[in-house]
Amino acid sequence: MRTLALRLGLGCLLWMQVVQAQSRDWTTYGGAGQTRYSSLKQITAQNVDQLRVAWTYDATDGTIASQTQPIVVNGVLYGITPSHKTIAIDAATGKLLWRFDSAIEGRGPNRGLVYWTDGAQQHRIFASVQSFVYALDARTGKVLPDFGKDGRIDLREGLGRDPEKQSIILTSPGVIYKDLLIVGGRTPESLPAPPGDIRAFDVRTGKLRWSFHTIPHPGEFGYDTWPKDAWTNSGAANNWTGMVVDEKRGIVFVPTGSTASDFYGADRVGDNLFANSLIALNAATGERVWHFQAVKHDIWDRDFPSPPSLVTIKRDGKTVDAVAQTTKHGWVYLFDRTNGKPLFPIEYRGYPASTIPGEFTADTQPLPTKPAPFARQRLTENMLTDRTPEVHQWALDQFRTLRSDGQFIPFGVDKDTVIFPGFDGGAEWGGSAFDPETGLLYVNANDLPWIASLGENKGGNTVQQLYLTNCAACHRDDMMGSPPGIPSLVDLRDKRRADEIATVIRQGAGRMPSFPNLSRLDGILIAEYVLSGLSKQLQSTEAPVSAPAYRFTGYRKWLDPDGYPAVAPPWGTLNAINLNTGEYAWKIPLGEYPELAAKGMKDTGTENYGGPIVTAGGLVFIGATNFDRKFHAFDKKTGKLLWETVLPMAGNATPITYEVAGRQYVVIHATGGRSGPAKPSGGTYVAFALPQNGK
Amino acid sequence: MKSLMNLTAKLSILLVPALLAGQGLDPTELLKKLGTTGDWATYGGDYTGRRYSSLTQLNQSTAKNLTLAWSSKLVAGTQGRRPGPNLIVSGVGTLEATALANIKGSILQVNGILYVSAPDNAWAIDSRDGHEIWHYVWKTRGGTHIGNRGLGMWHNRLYMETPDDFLVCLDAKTGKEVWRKELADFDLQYFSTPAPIVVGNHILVGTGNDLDMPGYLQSFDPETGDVQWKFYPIPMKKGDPGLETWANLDAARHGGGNMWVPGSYDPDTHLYIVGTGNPSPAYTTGTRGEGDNLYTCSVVAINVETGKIAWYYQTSPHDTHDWDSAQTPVLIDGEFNGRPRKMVLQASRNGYFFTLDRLTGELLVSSKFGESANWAKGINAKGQPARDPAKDFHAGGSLVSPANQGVTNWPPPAYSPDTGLMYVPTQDSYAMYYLTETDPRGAMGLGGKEELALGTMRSYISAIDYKTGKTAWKHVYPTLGGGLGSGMMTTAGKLLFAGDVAGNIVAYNAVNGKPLWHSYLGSQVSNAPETYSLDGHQYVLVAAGDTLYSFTLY
Repeated sequence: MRTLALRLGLGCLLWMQVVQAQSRDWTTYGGAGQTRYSSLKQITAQNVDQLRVAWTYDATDGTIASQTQPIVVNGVLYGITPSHKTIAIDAATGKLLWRFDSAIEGRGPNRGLVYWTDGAQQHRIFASVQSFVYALDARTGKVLPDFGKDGRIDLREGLGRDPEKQSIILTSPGVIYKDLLIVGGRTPESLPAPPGDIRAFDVRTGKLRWSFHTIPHPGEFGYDTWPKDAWTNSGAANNWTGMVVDEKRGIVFVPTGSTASDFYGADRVGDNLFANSLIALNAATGERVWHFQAVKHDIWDRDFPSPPSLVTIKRDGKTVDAVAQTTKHGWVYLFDRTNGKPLFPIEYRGYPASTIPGEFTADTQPLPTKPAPFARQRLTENMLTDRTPEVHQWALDQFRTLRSDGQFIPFGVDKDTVIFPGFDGGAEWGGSAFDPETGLLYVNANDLPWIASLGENKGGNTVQQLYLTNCAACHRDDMMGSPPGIPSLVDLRDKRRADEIATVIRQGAGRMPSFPNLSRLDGILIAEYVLSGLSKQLQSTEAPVSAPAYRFTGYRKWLDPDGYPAVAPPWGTLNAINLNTGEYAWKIPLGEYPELAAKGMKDTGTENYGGPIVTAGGLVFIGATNFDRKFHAFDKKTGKLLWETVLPMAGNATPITYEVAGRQYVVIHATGGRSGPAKPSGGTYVAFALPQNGK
Repeated sequence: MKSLMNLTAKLSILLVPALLAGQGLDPTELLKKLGTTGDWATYGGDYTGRRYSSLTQLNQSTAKNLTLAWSSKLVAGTQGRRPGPNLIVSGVGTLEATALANIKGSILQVNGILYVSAPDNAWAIDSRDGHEIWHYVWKTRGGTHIGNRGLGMWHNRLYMETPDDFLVCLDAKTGKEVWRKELADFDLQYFSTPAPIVVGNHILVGTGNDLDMPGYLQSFDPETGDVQWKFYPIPMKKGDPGLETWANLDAARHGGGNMWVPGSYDPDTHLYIVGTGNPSPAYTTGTRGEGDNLYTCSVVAINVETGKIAWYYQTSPHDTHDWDSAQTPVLIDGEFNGRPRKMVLQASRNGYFFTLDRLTGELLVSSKFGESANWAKGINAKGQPARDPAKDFHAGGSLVSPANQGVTNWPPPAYSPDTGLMYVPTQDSYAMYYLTETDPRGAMGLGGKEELALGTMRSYISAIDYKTGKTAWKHVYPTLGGGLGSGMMTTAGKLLFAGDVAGNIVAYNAVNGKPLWHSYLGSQVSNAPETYSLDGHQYVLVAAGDTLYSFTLY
């Protein structure tokens, strides 16, 4: 032992002490088959009210939430800190075993880690930090130098474009198939953006084994759904939310997001396969098995926002292995895993054409006939807020200036269009839970309208144009942003120097991607414009601004003057949908505003981010709610609230459950970050368990 | 689907104006014993300093079912926050000390709202779910930001001391500042940490410093902020009592006696009973003479109407170690030698325990409860520890127990009338004490020495019988080292709550110290546990650094 200890160090000794305890783990992001289901049943509907804090681990080393769902392997919990350090914690006690610091300051979502073992000596943790994926020894946290270059691969490389100018960040972890690590990545919402290639790397060497082009190259299926050079200059159609592997069939199911630019597609005429698609790929080779495109030629940013779940349902007395995919606009699709055949019929319905010059929308879009949507689809006058008579009148006056015709209505320049549910779903990145005992799928959803419009780019070679082209889609023309998700830039005056802002533009922060295509000088110029409001003429030595003819004027939640949704509640829900029948078992509002609840306005539901888990103990655990910071346990059959507690920061991450030495734990990463600027954010892992005998 | 469809109907009824929470606190409410209302309305829960609640929903049978009701992470200062109606920024300085709140103070719970403090920061937090109602930030001139021990409340007003020596009065509903008064001279190195204590129409406010100015206690008018009286624990002019215990008047006037921990109040005698700090200079005594240096390191009883001292008992005469006597005096009524008696208990930083008569200050019992304490040769005729000069600071060093933090310190003790035991956070520690200033005129304040800490050998809860001064039982924390555990709280459910040195909040059997329940918070409880009752639920509240945790039976 002595030589081993010397070679492997203290972290490994601690690791070995921990793994000697018997454990039933949670080894992958999203749980087995992305079902977020656990067969553990020590914690039940009868005793859940006795849960206590078993331990907490405050990992706060930054204020931007990482949204991490940790994993547990051999009784060791692997998690991520807000600045993207990887930590290994004794899952029974919360004691730190090791910490990996890549020396790169990570910012924003980093939702999980990947574990791989050869079943013998090799135990690897794959950890992403910005554009890099590191291979770490699970026992010590040390980088394994035989992987990639010095222990890491750079996702900006191998895309057929200048790596230095690519912005790709692995915000959701990849998946393992045999000895392959399959990943996607987050890319910018507007051009330039790298293509959303799905790539498989060798887990031992980091070598690229296959690539699937979501923007097809000449000769590939779907090439004709794009302009002919799109594969060289268009971008995105990327997988940012994670995927799932059917190991038995050797199929990886990959949901993709929209292509770039999100809201104006005159430069990408066609259906744009494989954007907004669920793609079934041969996991060993990357060859396409089948696909389904949910939005043709998307100009609404209707990404597939959640990793799909592998489910087994009953149909005509037989069991069918299916894959369930939720959407931002509030629907569940269910397909036969083998051939992509829809298990509830899908209808293609007609929608109006765009009035924007050069924009060609698809004539029809698909929607399933069942289950019914879990979020409201069209905002009408009788749905407006009734919170106070004044607010109602305000909403009515506003509403009458808006276009509100439901799904797939092209945005115009003339007036604002309602998009309902909004740009943050419907469903989101937390994913859904599936209970194999009952066939119920648990989906949490947002249910508030946003509004949107396009603006005409007037052209001109000014810094303002540079800002409008690169920044205004999120921060808006008037720099007011859409707090708390997208900060106002007006507030930066007196608070940040131009060079600090330029650094954020270069590196990204939170959900903001990096803009490597902008030079340092561009960044400084934009920062000065943001701080002063004065637009300079760009010098002739600087590259002219190449802007599309129309641009998005910014993400805007439709909120009343007090900051609450201008629609009547529920503003967020938790849904239990029977996938055997397509019927709802139950649906409840999820979340409250404490200050409204204190005045008697309870059960409004609120925006919520972070998914549920379901257990054989009869429980659904979910945090997610932004404003009340609660962590809840519901009866999975009825939706009855059985226990709740308030976390130190909002639980905007998906919990896990596992067992070590005969004791079941439930852990959630409380991060905040979506609750508003006056609220704390960071990262505390909180573990709950039942009392132990006599203690 | 049903619950959702009812929702719109439900909501339309809910548009009634807010039920007014926080009706304020009449000062007569403070005369009630802890647990007879749901509140925790002053520093010690009530005036006695016992931290004993008569609530019994939590008891030896039910404690094992305690679950986390809520937790809340507080961020100090304004960094990264937008101004809004519930963020109130004030202050006479421009600085913000830290964004990391460290909550050491008592938290008030009045009518469903918690009032929480950290240096330069006050918050109103919903007692039911931990959400922030308002946050007050004081921009500081600087100074020592070591801690804030809590807020005081009078009707709808709150009072807070700032490290840079202001007493601020806040509107409890909105957190908006009503007035502020400078309570000490910042330029003379004063800094202010105590929780103001409200007695009738007096706001009792202590302060002190670590250099060479005396500590003092002031009484402020709650409405106007005018000073009603000022008490110095040392002689300030010729003819003041105790002057004979100092080398001269100048030494006395710079003789320390900080008032840095709130005291307790006896409504029958109108006496505010509070501990005083160390003499100054603390470790080099050349300038202050060989006398007792009254009333430093003493328990003093002060008439709240006049600010005059009624009696004193000095726990460390002529202190040479910074063994202040600031630890919370605990007022109890009980049997002593066969007859009922009004008493004061104090477990002092120097490792000695005292039972005093509350009306006269007469010593009834003294004993040593810090087992390893070696700085005294024994107990003298007045019951005081007799200092061993060999254990002072010396150029060649001396091995002394306890180390500077003392056998116990500011974390408040608790007393249960059900068990007759006083529960005290206790540690056995050692340090090498070196004198570095050998000029016989000595150093200033806390200067002139070096201390090489050797560590804490044991940290434990002492359960002390007030009748004998003997330790009835100890609960030794299993972790090695770690310093002092948290303050204490006890209940009529025969429970004792305290945070241990490993980061657990633990419920013990108050009779024998056996653990009944615990929850691991990851970092040490930084104040003392409290309990309150709301909507039929009894809660246990603790702070661990910047995070509040509230437990209840679900």
